[in-house]
Amino acid sequence: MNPLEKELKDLIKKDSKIFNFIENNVLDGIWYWDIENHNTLSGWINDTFWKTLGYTPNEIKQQEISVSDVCNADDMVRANINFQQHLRNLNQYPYNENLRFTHKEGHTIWLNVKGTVIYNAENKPYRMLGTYTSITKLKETQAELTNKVQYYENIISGVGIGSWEYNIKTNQIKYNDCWAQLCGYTLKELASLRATAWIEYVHPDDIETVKNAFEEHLKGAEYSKCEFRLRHKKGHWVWIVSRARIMEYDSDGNPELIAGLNSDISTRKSNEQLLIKNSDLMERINQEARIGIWEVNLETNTVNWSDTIKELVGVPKDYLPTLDDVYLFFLEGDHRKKIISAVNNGISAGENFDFDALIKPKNKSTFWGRTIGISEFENGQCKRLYGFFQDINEKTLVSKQLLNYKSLLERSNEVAKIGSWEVNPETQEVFWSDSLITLLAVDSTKHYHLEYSILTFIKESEQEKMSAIMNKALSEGENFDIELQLKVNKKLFWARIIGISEFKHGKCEKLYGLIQDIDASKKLELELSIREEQFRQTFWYANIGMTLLNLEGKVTSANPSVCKTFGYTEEEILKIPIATLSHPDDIETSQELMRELIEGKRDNFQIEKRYFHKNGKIVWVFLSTSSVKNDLGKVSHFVSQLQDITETKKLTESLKEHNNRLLNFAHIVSHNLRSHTGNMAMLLDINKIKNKNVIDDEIFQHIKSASDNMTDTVEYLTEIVEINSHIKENLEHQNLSNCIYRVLQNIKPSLDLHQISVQLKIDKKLTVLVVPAYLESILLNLLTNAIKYRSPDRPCVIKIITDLSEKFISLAIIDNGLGIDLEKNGNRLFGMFKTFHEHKDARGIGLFISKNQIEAMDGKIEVTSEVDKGSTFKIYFKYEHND
Amino acid sequence: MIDTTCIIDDDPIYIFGTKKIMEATNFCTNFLIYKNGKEAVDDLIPKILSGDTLPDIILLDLNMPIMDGWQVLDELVKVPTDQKIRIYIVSSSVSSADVERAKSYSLVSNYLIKPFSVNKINDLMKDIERGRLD
Repeated sequence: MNPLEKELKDLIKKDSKIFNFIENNVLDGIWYWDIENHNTLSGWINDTFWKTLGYTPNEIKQQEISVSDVCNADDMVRANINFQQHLRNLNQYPYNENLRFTHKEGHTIWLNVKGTVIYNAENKPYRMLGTYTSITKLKETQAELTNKVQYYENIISGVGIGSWEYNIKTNQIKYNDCWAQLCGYTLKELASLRATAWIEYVHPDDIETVKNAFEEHLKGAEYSKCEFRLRHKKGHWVWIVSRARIMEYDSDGNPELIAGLNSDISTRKSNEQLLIKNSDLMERINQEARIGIWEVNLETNTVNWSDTIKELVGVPKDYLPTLDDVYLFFLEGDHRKKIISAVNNGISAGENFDFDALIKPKNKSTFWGRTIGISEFENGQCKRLYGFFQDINEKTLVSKQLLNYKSLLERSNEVAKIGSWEVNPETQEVFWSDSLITLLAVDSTKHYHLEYSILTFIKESEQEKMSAIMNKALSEGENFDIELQLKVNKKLFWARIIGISEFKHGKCEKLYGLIQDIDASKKLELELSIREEQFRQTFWYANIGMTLLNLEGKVTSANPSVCKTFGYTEEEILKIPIATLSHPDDIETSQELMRELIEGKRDNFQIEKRYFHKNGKIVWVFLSTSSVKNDLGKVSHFVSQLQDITETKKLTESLKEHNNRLLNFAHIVSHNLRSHTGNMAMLLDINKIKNKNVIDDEIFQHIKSASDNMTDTVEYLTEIVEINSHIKENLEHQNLSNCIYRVLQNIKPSLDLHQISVQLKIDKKLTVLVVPAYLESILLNLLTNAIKYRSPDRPCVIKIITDLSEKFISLAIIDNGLGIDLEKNGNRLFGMFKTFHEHKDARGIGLFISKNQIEAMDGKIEVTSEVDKGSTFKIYFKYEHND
Repeated sequence: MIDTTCIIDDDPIYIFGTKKIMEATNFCTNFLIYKNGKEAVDDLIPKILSGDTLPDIILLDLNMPIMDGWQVLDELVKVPTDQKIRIYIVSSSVSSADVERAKSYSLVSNYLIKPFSVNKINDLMKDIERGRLD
């Protein structure tokens, strides 16, 4: 430890005043000097001092640097002088110096050094205790301030601002040179000018403005600020902007001194109106054209960019580029070289520039940019460099697109079958474009006269009309757009002709236009209108009800039939939701179907449903709704057909009821009657066993025969009833041929007995879907009939022929027997208990049952017959494809 | 020749006639007669349960008041017994539905269509003898 340091510390311990001093004054460091041996350099200073100057304590020890080595020599001398004075009179000359030291890196560090002398026991100064603090920042600020004051003073005179001071009390007014110059005077000329006088120089219209501004300031506004006109020495008016302020107040608080600045804004004023207009225009142009503005400040080497440029090159709005930064936005190589040389030439030689170069923006792809630079060159020096920057990529693109469009237009004209024409109003010659020549199939080398053209190419009936239109276009300048038929190669086709007449000074200068082949679309249009008319006719006059529904299922149109069915007018039907007319039991089904239709799950639906007529009665309707698709395949609306089937429905219902009643009746007969006839037959049976002799009794015989007949009748009835029930479950596929042979086998004894020849023409493969027992019974019945009713006059021949047609398998049984008079009996032939022959076995039940059985199996039976020639019974079975 | 025939039927003429024919053909002379299904069930079931001798055959009509033939069958089915009961449905109904339904009961030996005649008695006799051999 430095002995002095130790001593100081001891001293602090002894004397509290020392401590207080240090406490109050120490800022950055402390020093303690031995002045006894008059060596101002022998002393101790703390390490902070060296740190402040950029040294480490080690460096100091090694290089033996002392305070005098780093202190400014001039300051050292001054400090020494002051030190001596301080020694002489401590109180009168407090030691307080601002000293300059040299930083290790060479720059200056300002330190404020304070010190106090310390006396020894003999009251002799023997030590100096001090502190120091860095004031570099403070010093720098001061220097800057001084500079600024100077700067502003320079500016004020440099930029031609007039300054003035006006003492209200003394009425003294002071101006600088500039002020005088503003009005074209010298200071001398103005020397006698008084305040009251200067106001005379103000434009009479502006005096009020000036006074008001001053009043405002007196009332509390920060400045008295106004723009007014002063009369120039030469007599014209100069626009002045003035800004003044009360600088001093007297002891009573009244303003005493006013100072102000004036500057000439005539140019600005005159430009102002223009500027407002221009800047607005500029802004819009810039936005549209993507033009940015830039400016290079050559003093600060900074660049100002407008927002447009920043946007174009992809940098944020607060981005501040330097000139070097700017270069980097130009693509390396020729592009960058271009900008660098352009800027250099602009600065050094005042050359303006305008070039295109590829720009590489941040995070964007390169684009072509046009840079225009203007150099403001004065007195051999470039003051400012500014200009525009434009993204010309889009422009290039647009021009390319334009080319595309042109060729597209040419091509589409060809495709769209459009040709252009032009009529020379003077010569009435017609010029045709290539595509029109193709369209009209004319000789391209000829130019046609207008009248000839009309006569050649316009349909005869339209020629007069066309001529009139052309004349009107030529004489009155009336444009036209018509559709008519042209004839080319003796064929007519529809065309649209557009004519534009350029009419100036009561004269047609040019008549030109287009002809478009619209044949296909026109024909389509005509056909459509016919169809539409047809549909309209159908819709309105159809007996069947029709409605149109929109995509939500709401009725948009209803024809008179619908109105009649429901009893409402069309207007009423369109208003009432159709669902409210629907029978509640049917509504769920029909709405579900409608929903599926709307959702496209189905294309149409048919349903029988009930509605309520306006009078409350139920109307049965067969409703058929279909979706209607447009040419794009999208559903455009729905069409419903509503057929009033109430009457049919009623009839069906009553038929069903009737049928049920009949069936019930048949059941009653077959079941209830059976038990009675059965009992009767049984009782007769018992009687026969018990009283053998009763058999010979005539009455008993009759009772017996009546009972038997009744039992038979009931039997047949029962059979008929049975035929119609459970038919479906009993249907089987049967080989028709096998069946025929089986039956023939059964009746063989009878055939043999009567020497009947049977001729067969049977397809052995045919299969029919039948109830086997029925088929057998039918065949047996028909064949036995043929045997039974054979002619006694000729040998009996029976032919059996099968045939296959589209829907049926037929079986014909042809005999050469007695025949039936169909004219008399035709309608009763298949009735119950009808007999047509005096035959002992004729019961009149066979054909009735057969017919019933055949029909129950979905077949039919037909008969042709001629008395004494024979009969043909033809049975048709439903053809079941063998699958 | 069988011992006892039980007839369950509401038609007195039928009962009379059947009895006469059976007697005349020596088919049977003992008869147990019930005029409707309920009478039959009330009397027959306790007999079955107590193990009494049962009639050799039961002729059951379907269409009866109070309790019809189907209901009688349903009640008899419920009764647990080892004894063989031969039931013949005798009905004027020729409906195949009725025939099918009758066949669904294992208790039912056959379906006969009214009226009874000497021929049918002979068929029935043959049927019973065949049943006895089984």
